[in-house]
Amino acid sequence: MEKLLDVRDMHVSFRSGKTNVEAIRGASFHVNEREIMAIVGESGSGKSVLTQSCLRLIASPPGQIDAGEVWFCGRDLMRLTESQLQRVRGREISVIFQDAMTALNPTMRIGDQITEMLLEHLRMTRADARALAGEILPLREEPDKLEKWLQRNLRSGGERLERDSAELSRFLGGNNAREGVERWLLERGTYSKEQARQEAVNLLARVKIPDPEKRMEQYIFQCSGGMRQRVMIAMALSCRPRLVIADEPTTALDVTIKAEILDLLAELIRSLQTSIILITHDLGTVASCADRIGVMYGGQFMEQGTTRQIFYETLHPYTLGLMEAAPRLDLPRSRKLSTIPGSPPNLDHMPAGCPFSTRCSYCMAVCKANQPPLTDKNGHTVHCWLYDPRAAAQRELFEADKEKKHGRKND
Amino acid sequence: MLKYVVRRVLIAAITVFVLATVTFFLLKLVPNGLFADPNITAEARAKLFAHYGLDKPVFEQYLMYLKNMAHLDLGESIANPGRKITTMILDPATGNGLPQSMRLGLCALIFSVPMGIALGTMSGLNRGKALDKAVIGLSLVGISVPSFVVATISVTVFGNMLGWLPTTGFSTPKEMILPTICLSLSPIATIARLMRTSLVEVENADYIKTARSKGLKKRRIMLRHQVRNALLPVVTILGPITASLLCGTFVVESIFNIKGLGGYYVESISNRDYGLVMGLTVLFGTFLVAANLVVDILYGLIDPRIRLKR
Amino acid sequence: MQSENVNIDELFRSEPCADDEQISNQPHISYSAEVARRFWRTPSVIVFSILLALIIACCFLVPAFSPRPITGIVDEAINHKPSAEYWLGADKFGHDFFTKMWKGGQTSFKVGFVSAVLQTLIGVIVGAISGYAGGKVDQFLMRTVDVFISIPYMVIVLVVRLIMGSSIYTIIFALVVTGWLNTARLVRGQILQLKTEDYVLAAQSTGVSTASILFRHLIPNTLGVVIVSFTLAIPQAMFSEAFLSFIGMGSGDVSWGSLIRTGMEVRFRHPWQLIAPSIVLALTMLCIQLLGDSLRDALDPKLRK
Repeated sequence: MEKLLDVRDMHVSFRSGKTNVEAIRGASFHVNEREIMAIVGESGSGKSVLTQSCLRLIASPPGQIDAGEVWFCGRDLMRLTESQLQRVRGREISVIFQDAMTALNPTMRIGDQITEMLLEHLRMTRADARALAGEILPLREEPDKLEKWLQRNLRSGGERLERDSAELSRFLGGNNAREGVERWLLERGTYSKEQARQEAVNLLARVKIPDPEKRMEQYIFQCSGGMRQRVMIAMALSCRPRLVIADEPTTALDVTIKAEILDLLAELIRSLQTSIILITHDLGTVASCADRIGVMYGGQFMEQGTTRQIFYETLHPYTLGLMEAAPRLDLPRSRKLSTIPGSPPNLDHMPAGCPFSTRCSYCMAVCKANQPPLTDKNGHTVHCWLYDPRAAAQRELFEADKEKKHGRKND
Repeated sequence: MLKYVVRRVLIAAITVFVLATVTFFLLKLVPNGLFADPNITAEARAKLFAHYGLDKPVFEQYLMYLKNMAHLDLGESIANPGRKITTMILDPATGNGLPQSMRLGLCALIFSVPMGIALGTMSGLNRGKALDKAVIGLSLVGISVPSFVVATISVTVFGNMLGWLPTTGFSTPKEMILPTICLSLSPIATIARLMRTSLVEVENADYIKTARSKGLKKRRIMLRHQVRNALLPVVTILGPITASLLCGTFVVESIFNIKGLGGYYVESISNRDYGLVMGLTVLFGTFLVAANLVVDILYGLIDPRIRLKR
Repeated sequence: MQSENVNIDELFRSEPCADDEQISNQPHISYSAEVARRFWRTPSVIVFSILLALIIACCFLVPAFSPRPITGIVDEAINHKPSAEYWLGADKFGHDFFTKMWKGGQTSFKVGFVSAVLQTLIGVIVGAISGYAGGKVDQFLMRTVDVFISIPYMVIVLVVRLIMGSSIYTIIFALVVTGWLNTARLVRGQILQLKTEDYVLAAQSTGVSTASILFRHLIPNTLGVVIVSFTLAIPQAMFSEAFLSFIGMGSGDVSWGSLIRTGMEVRFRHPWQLIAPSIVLALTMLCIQLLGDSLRDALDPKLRK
């Protein structure tokens, strides 16, 4: 399977005064085409910071991306210019935020907020055309690259792609190539306000908002919680992005609406063939819908794998703790909910070794002193010292506990 | 929205009424009464009392006063016998009084509001840069230095010493420059500071991050999302700004020898010109109430959260 | 790598995870200490505090210890030029201007401080009652505030002056009458918000008395807002006093406003009599304003981690 997004060794820190707090400490993960990748972790584990950093959305200052690469469709997003990145944001990667009430502009009509985005990405302005022509011209000798460029930047595909390349090559061959290409781009990219409006109405209808025409004229504070989140989803999907980052999309909602929104999201994602990064603190939410899961703690990934691997072949003590902490109906009520002792690490005072070492029941001296290495088992990766051959004794202890717990689960 | 407007108008009307009533009865409390001049004989005083209707029971006087006020008749001045207070305030013959003050106040308002917003925006959008620091420094000075100090010093420097600008009057454009600037400095500073704070606050709002995640251009985010929302709180201080301009006109008028209402007011109090004090007090009060009303309604119109509240 | 492994090998033994030492070692800073730390962080705050302290000290010490009289008429010093003895010269009564200027500052500070204290006190009480009681009481009090707030303070000052005559108390009274409104509104808003907090509901449900809830739970939590509005009220009152003195509607005592007024009349012959009080007044305002700003920033809970 091809990797759609590949994030390598991100380091993000926040500076306040003289202190520098490392929020993301070397996190890597990837998202495949058409899959739901869930990132799970307690609050403060860095889930949102990590994903927002991928689009360079964190406020800077105080935030600062110290290192890392974010490969998306053959480009490193960290190295794009701001205006190049603007064409990726919203159009190829969009974000659904947790609380639509604060994440949408309170003084702007819902419709305007959606059409604004459509127009930004689908309408070609003279300046856009000039910039794009500048990108096309150097590719004129390389038809392969040109085709790729067309696919990426103009969403050209199939027959359309053939027609586009044919037309373009005609202009590129002409005497005044630059002007010709610009004019072609402008013509191809006409998109009227009326079109955008109609599109927005369709989008609202698609997220099952009743009477979408009327909603277009309303403001966000006039909507109920579920409706707000639907608007947010409609907006995020408006340009048919290839990847959606859903940052705790259901946390602010009632339980009954939560399931509805999640189902809607899953359905849309499937029909649009989009990938999604689903951020949540609730392992239960993702058990049924995610393809792969990454478990974050203290700004690092503890364990990553397919949902099956994470649930049935758990490798990391923290993941095991998280699953134990979830309430379960199938177990006797007399069973106490287990908790992970201690509290999430304070980012100011991180241990030198594994961030979880202060709360781990299988902690070894080495865990406190050294960063754990990566162990990879068929794509199931874990950062833990337990998988070092020298830790066999301690690992047996963990395996035994896991057996006991999993056994109970399967009773 | 209609309910909101009706409510505001009602409060405004009540405020004016309360103000008129309170002023009336307060002035009845003035010790020694009016005409305390020992040189006036008892007979003359009685005559004067009769002339101004002061011999009637207080409550009857009050009703008369309200009735007259409803007809925009403020009675006769005591210090300037025979002159109607309404004519003194409006003074169509010379153009002094209210028209003069209004012109000064309006000039300052028209100058200071866009200026303050522009400075505040420039500073808020370029935080930490030299321009921002300059605006912060200037606005701190603008708030700290009273307008009468600015006016006195600028009149001395630009008027008397350099002779660039006239030091009195407010009729020709050249005469208008100094008074307008002197009166505008503190409102400019206040507005600029508020605009800057407001911009910074909005910059951290979630919806700005959303706008960025939508891939909008920086310019559009600034104008459509940031500045637009940041302007809302600025509208709310236009009421207090108008009030402070009103007080400011007193000083500026006195320093630049502008024959506006400020001079009349101070004079009328020194002269114990009962009718004039009352008339001007109610006029100022009404003016401010009206200004606040306009600001409230304006705010309701531009903020959908108020406009659409049922 | 190999040499490191030798050391590491010995580390693969079980260890208790809870690092109590590390947890308890985290610095614990109380709120007021944190505010103080943030307040004194900037060097400008220290500079302006010292400057303000110096000005206040001058206001109350110079007139008390100056050997040169500033009452009656001192014939030999009338319109004295600035000299070693008369630093800023003397005015038309022969009063040493340096001494007189600081005497004028006393009036400003007295008016500013006393009226700020009184209006804050009234504002807090009315605001707290209005916010906590709610219902009709709140409606009545807030409508009263609405009415009062649109009456220009100038008008009240002048009318009060007409009735009570001119003295420092008239000014303070008038400033208090018009000044408590904003504090009351602010405190009410805060109380309304705090009232729904869980700890207040908990106190109510366990039968804690109303007064106790009000004074032990609610009002202390509005302190930030109150302190900020207090620091804003001081310069505002001083401003108003100077302004009234300048237009000749002041207390009659010598004050910065009245000195600037006379200074303006003699500005060509004795420019110092205009410039000196103007500078001192402006500097004082600047100091208080800046310190107030810094205090507000330091108290801002949004910045607190």
